[in-house]
Amino acid sequence: MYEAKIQHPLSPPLPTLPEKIEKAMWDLFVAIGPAWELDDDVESYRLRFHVFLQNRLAIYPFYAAYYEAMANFIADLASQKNLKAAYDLIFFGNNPYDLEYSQELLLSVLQKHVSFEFINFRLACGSFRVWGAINYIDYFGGANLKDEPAPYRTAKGLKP
Amino acid sequence: MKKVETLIIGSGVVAAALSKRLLEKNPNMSILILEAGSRWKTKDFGVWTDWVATGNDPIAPNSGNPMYDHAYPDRNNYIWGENASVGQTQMPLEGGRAMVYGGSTVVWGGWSLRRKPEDFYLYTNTGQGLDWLFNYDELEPYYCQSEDYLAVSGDSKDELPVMWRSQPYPFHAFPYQLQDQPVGEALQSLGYNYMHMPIARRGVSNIPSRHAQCQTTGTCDYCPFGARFAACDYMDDFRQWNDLPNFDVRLGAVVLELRMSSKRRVAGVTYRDTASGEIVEVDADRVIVAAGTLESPKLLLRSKSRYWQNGVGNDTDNVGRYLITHPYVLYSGELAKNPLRLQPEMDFPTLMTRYFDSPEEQAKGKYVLVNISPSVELSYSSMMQAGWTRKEIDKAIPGPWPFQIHSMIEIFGEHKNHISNLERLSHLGMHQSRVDFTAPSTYNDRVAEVGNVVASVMEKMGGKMTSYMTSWRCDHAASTCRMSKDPKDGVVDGDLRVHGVDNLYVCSNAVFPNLGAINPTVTVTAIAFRLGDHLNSAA
Repeated sequence: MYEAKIQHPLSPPLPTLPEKIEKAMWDLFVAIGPAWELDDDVESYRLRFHVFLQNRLAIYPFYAAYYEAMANFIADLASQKNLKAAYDLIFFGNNPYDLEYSQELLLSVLQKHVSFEFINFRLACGSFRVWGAINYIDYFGGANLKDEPAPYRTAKGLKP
Repeated sequence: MKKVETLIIGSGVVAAALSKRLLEKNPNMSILILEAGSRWKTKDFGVWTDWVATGNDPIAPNSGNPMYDHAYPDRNNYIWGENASVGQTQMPLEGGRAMVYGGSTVVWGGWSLRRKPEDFYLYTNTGQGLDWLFNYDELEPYYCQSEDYLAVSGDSKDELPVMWRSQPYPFHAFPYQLQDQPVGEALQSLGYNYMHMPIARRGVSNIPSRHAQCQTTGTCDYCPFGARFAACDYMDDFRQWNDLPNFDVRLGAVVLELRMSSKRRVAGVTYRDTASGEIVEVDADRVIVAAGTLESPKLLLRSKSRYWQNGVGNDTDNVGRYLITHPYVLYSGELAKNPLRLQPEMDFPTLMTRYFDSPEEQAKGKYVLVNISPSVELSYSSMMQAGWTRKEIDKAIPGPWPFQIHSMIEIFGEHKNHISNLERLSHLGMHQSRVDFTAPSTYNDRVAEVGNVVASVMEKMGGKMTSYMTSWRCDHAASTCRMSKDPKDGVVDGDLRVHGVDNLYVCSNAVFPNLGAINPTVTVTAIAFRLGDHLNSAA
């Protein structure tokens, strides 16, 4: 899963995004951290994020259009105010832009297919830990090994 | 016309375990498995990623997945639907069984509990229903084989000495989760003992396996690694890694009828190839009907001939009768405080109680309580997507939070509760089902009685029970071809052979005379191995 380069020479190429779009998506994914004061190391998720985008495009090729539209939407908002204000609108609905109806509609579509999915994936990568748990639904917590600590928080004081 | 030695109808866990057992003895045996459904791709990271990203469970009943029944017709809500519910209690079929390569193990939860010794003696103990024709002691070695095959993690000491075991679980139990703490403490203080949920999630042992271990990912409905048993994965693996020249699985094969060559012999089956529309006949030395509780009796019923005018094995009007399932009850409450900052960490339960799954409760219907996971319905994802700030989320975590405890309650078979065929076909080209089911008249009192116990548990936890609802979904449907000593009482004998036919067997939950309070999969797998030994010894 993490081996993004494992590909037979005769296989069709994996879908990719233009570099500029992928960077805009990565920046949005990174911005989830400061928005919710998450303290995890987002750089360690970079390769997984790249594979995540590939998986989305492999199943739904039209996601390339969502990602491009989101990149343009952010660039447009940022040019009107600044990048933080753009992210605040996307994440929290703080709207200093006086968006037209068509833009509000576009925002809700892009939230559903891009930013909401990035939030889910960010939590699955490990950001949930900020609230105290060590495992989370969607997270690869690890195996249940005998005589090793369980890969999740366990009950105390119950009979074994 | 093709002829095989063993023809198995249905490709679920019974087909997988039985063919394994037969082929271990004779790898050249010709076995053909016919499956009406198609293949559902398992262990695919693209599918898994889609679920993580969107939250849309790919195997949810409302996913539109063709492996499921459609909902019943509903004119008020403009649902065209399929099948027919004609009893006073609706037993939903959609989502409760999977008509796909691998059968319902593609979508099961993996709760892997053995029946208790008294469950084999319902009639002797209560005067209701029938006794089984074998008991816990006889089935125990097969339970071990079943747990090994299904890769069950459990605590071997939990149910001693009543439920003795000759082998430990293949993998050690998952320790109780933190979310079990308030429930466990409440049960403890009320004097109700509790135990680890034995669960089919592959662990780690010294025995090498090609199957992956559970990584506690919590997306068990669609495990990206295949660490939860699915019969299709195991059959694929078995075929890939062994030289089995005469073992074949045919998908999209809707069996229309059993063809009898005499009163006592089945010659083979006729099926429709759904891809080509072709009608195909296959002859077989023996036929095993392993098509689940609903399709197995329906096939017997529609196989009418001059030898069996009311359907095969149905001279005494028992085929399709005594339909039961588990009422699955969701008791909801509110946890006033959440000082432990409980949140979902896994997608399967680790704590349950069988305290009321006891001889004392048997006459009224035994039951189990399960601390379902997630029991605290807290979702960071939902809060973040709703635009909550970090401060708002932090403020919400200490509670109150909705909370649930689930229960399965045993009910008993009644002759009037009946599954049969409709002429019209389903989206898979199978005969639709006519489900005539009415809950026992005592059920409302019983579920309220169980509710009082759950309410006391929730109260001890510092919460309160607010409501409950019963799902009668057909996940654990059983008993429609129940085993009996006397043909006038049932459909198959103790070897699972249809009364009056020498080479026709039924192996499914359909042969259970009763369910007990627990999930049937470990038991049906055990009886599949037992049937395999019987057939091997007869060969």
